[in-house]
Amino acid sequence: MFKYNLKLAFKSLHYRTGLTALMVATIGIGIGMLMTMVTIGHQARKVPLPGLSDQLFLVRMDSRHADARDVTLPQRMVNLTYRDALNLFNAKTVASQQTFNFKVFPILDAQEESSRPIQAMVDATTASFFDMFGARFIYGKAWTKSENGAPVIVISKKTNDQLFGGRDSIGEQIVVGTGKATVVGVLDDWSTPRRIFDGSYSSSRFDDAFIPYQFALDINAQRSQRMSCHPQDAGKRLAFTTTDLQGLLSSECTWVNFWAKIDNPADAQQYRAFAEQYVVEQKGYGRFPRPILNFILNIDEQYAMARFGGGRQETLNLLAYLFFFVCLVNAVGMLLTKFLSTSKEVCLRRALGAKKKIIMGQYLLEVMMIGLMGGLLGVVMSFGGLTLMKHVRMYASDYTADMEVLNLAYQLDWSMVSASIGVAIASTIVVGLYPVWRIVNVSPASQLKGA
Amino acid sequence: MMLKMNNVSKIYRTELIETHALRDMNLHVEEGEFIAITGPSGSGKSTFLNIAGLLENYSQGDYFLDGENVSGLSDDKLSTIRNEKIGFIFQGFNLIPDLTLFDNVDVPLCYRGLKSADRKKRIEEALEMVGLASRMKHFPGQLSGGQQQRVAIARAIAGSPRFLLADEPTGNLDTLMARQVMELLEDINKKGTTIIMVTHDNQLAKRAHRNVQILDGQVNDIKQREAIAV
Repeated sequence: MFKYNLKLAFKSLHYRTGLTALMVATIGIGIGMLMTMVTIGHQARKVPLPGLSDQLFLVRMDSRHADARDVTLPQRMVNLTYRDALNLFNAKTVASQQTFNFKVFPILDAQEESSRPIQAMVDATTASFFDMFGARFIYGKAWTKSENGAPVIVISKKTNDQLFGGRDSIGEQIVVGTGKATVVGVLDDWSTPRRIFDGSYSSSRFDDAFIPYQFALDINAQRSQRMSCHPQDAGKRLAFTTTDLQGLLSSECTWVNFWAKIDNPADAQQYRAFAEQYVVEQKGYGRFPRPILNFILNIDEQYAMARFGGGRQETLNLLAYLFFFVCLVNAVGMLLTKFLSTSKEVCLRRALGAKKKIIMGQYLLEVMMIGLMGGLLGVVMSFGGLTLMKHVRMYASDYTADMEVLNLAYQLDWSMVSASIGVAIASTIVVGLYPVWRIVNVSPASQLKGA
Repeated sequence: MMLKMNNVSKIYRTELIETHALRDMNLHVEEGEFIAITGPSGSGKSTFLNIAGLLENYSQGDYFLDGENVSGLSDDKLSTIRNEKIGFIFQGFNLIPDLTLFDNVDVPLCYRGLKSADRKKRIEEALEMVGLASRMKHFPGQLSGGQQQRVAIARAIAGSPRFLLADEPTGNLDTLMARQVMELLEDINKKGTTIIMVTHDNQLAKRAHRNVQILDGQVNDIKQREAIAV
């Protein structure tokens, strides 16, 4: 019977082809828009470094001045001062690894005729950073702990392509701002969809290179990091980011991201206790004038609190859901029209012995086919929608974003493809229930009389 | 007894009025009979036919079909009885236009769940009997009205039903074609199938074994009324 019903359902798709096409288009467009928005949210919330995200903790401490405004949201808390970052880094703690980083923007120049210098976005960090964040290398490896002040550099695959045409550049020299560094590693494409490690969560572009923090300080590379200073230093921010390095290092300005890798929840508690104790000690030196408030949260916890895209994304999501709902309501009307126009045939089939459940099976199969086709069209529409949104994002960034990185944030993965088709079929079945119920309950005697 | 209706009534109710389509109708049909049902328009012939064919429920009374009381049977069970015991022939043929003659005749057999080979044999025999075996791949639109009605008859008899219900089977046909269809029904009846035929045509009605007239929802058949009373 299934085979027979399948044949009838296929045949029925060809009946009033225009209406069938309109239904498929309606569902496809609705699904396309919905899945475009859902995919953007899905990619934004995709937790990077799945095996490590519960072990990597961002450490933030309230070292602000006494009159600073209260902060309740962890993501609004300031970073660490350089002094605190260094103290924690050198302290003996339960963390299995620790690292810190800050952003600098030097010019990178391979001094080759075939490549032009680039204004790079560089992370100044420690040797442990690469292992902690699961970085993969095409060539070479990270610098060692003893090289945290050495003139070495790890470059991204893209930078290697730009400066060295993609060849193995280990050992090559690159001018980094006012200094010169030797390439010790070339990173493979990073798989994390957002720059979690610098606290920006940006999904526009990744860092072009990584250098040891001490080397960055030695060459006084221009810093560009969110900086929060006490009132007495508020006017020195420009100098702190450009020329007055010593002033910055000894100030109470917070600008350094600090990460601890803690292997289990018990150790995390112990680490938090250690951090509190540290603040208590520092208070003894007249620092940390405010009540103790430390936020030590792993990546999972940070993601749970984050609102990526903010209100704009939520509004777009809501619009997409409403639009999809409207599409489904239209689909109900069209299904009803199409099905009821076949009621004479249904009467005949019922008279000839078809049970209600068989007729229901036939029409549900047709509904599922329409849903499947709508879902497939929806996948194509989603792909188009995501491509469009990606280009809008690129335009909004004044073309400074990296297309390869945006591809990660706007890609339609298999889970979303199957979700599109699944949602299309399921929702079409739900909205098809009423039209199917109506056609199944047509009285067999009602339309058999006459020519 | 193939069909026995005792005091069967059908009342259509709306908020304003009640319409008695059948009033205490009594009709007994023996196996192998060929009955013609006549009566003016609105007398209740179609309602009777729908109830007899289990296409419509009745309001009160008893209806025994092939010895089985059909009141209170589930919709599934009624569908099964329709499929296995009743063949329908309609005035308007009711063939499915986008199916070939073969597939049209196949419809009730599919719902019975017969094997493909068995169905094929039955379809070919039925179309052979109505003289259209050579056109089984044709579509209804390629046939004349008479031929279409013969296909409808083939569809009705392919499942070897116990009785046929024919609703004005010649109503849309010219005299020659009507005669051919009538002869076909007579042949089928001779082979033992009970036939109940609704018709306006007195000439055709006279060819049946018995002529039952329905007036105002009641059987006007003195001979039968007396027989039932005895």
